[in-house]
Amino acid sequence: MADDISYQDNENIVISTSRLTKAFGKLVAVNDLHLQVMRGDVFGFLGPNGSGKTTTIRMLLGLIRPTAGRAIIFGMDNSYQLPAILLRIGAIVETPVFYPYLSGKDNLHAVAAASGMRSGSASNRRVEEVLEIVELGKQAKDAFRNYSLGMKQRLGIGAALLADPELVLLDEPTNGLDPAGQYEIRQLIQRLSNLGKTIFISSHFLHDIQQVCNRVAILQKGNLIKQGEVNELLQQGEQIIVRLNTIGDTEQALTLLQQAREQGLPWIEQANMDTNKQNIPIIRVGAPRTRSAEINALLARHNLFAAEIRPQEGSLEDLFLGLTAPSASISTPRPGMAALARDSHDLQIEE
Amino acid sequence: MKASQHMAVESSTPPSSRASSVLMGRQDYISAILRLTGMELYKIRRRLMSKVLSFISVLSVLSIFGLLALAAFLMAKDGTPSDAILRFSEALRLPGSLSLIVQLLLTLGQILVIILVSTIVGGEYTDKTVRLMLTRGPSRTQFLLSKIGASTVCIMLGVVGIVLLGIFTGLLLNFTTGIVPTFDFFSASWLGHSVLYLLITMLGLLTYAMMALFLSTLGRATAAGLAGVLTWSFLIEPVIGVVGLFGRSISGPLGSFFQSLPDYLIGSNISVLLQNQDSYIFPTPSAQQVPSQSSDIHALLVLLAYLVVFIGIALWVNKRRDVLI
Ligand SMILES: Nc1ncnc2c1ncn2[C@@H]1O[C@H](COP(=O)(O)OP(=O)(O)O)[C@@H](O)[C@H]1O
Ligand SMILES: [Mg+2]
Repeated sequence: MADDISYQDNENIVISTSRLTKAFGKLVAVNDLHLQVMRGDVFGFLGPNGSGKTTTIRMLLGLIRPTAGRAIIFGMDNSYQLPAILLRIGAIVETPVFYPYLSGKDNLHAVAAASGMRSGSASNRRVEEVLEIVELGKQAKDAFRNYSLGMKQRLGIGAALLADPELVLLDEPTNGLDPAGQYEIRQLIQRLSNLGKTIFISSHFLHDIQQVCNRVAILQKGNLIKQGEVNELLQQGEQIIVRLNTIGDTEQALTLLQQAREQGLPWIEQANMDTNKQNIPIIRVGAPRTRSAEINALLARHNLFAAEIRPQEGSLEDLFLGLTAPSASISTPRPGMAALARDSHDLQIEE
Repeated sequence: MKASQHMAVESSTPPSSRASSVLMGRQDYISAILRLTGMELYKIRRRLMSKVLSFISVLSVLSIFGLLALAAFLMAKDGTPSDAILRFSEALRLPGSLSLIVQLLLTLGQILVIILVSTIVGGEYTDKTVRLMLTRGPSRTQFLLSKIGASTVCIMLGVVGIVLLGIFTGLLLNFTTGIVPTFDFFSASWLGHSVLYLLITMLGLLTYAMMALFLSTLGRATAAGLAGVLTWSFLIEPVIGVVGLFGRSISGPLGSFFQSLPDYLIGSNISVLLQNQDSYIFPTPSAQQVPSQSSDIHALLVLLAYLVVFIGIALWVNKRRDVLI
């Protein structure tokens, strides 16, 4: 079914990678990656530090050669038709870099010349336009070396937008920005998306991605652990929080719910003991929000009366932690799970 | 999944149009290189470094000719025989000044060219801008070719500029000696050989420049080109030159091997080419201007081989390797 759709939507596939792999010596930074980005997507590429996001972006842009696999962008193989592909992309790789001795504006002129745009004053209007978009008009004439990190990020985005590309590829564009700056970038991405651009944005801020992206891929230690529509993933992450008055009741209820999961209520994905913010024991039930009445009824039939039943929206944060936490691993424990769990805390979560 | 990817390879999706304010230039291979070369030159102009280098070269031309004029002036005051003053005057005006300027270009000028080229190539790695420039469209080869183009333009403009400055400064200062310049050496043939002389100088500078480009690319740093070429041209080549002389005192195949080594150096082959022009440009009766033992063809081929090796390996390495900066 999904295959049929992608087959028919061939025109609309912007990035498609197959088996994309990069090893640095023994370290496999990106492993067997299959990504598919469609026209108009705001595609979030998620993962903790060191999970292989930048390495993937470098491969997409032809800065490094894959150890195996390939990337097709706009229907062209990037190991053979890189220049034609790059002319349709605007990108930032890691922290934006520019010539430190040139002003922001002169740097954009340099980028214009390198992007196939007419050089000199012919590109003045566009350069001014872009400086307005990223709100650097006032500092346009300052040397890049004196820019703050936020200004560098904005100039980087400006350079990516300069030639008005179809695909904008941003590597952690909110890195190092304060909340206001992050908000501005999200607004900008929204506007670009409304203009019909395809946007590929990597981040280790789950919050960013959840707010602006329609599709995400989650990377962990170079492996793709999830890819899909944000809405669907969030549905999967929905939970029902159950609180009972005594510890005894809570333990009983947990056992009951876990039994129910194994014996006929498949919509319960999991049930775990946890504590809420006031340090009171609660049960987190992984189930669609719409099922809270049924859970209530089930408990009541066993004389367990909930003090509180609260449906909770899913978040990518929960999803990510769920996917990478040791308890979520498939039966056989794998080596390095402790390291995986540790990494998942690298993900910064905003409140 | 499989099917879609096969389909995807067969046809690229048509590009969508850009905003009306985005004016694209010509997209053919050469136009892109020319545009990048223009950008390189623009960047060079905006660097403090190039201003400092220009200042140093102008200052050194002025001071060398100034010192000559001063020496002549002091001698005249002391009442030194006018023969010596005549020799100073000859160094100040054409054709003698040409030799002085070219010597300056191939020593101090050479150092400045090496600094310049190492910086414009290695600086892309030091500033990490290589990852910006290599993700915009032009290929890595086009990018490096534009660096070669910009280096060549700088060398040509630099040589012409310094030569003109030197000639006029020398002529002006010559008036202080009281000796009236003559231009009876001037002829079409003289002009031709002088132009050739300057082209040889440019070729010499270009060869060292390409060595700097090669080493900065290889070492991904300005320092690599700078230290490498300076060591090579001011330490290793002179040492090999001495080894060559030393070879004369050894008989047998080892001696002739040592003796032949200097024939394959950059510096000595530039000297050969210059020396072979001397007799056409400097018609002084002195016995200095003996044409060299080696032929122009040999010297040109050696220099060409260096250029091919330096540029070839730099392009190859640049094209092949991963950009992880
Ligand atoms: N040049 C390199 N040499 C060796 N290992 C590298 C190199 N670049 C990245 N890595 C490793 O590859 C992994 C992925 O890195 P990266 O793609 O930068 O992650 P991310 O961008 O998601 O933070 C990390 O373990 C990192 O240490
Ligand atoms: Mg990164």
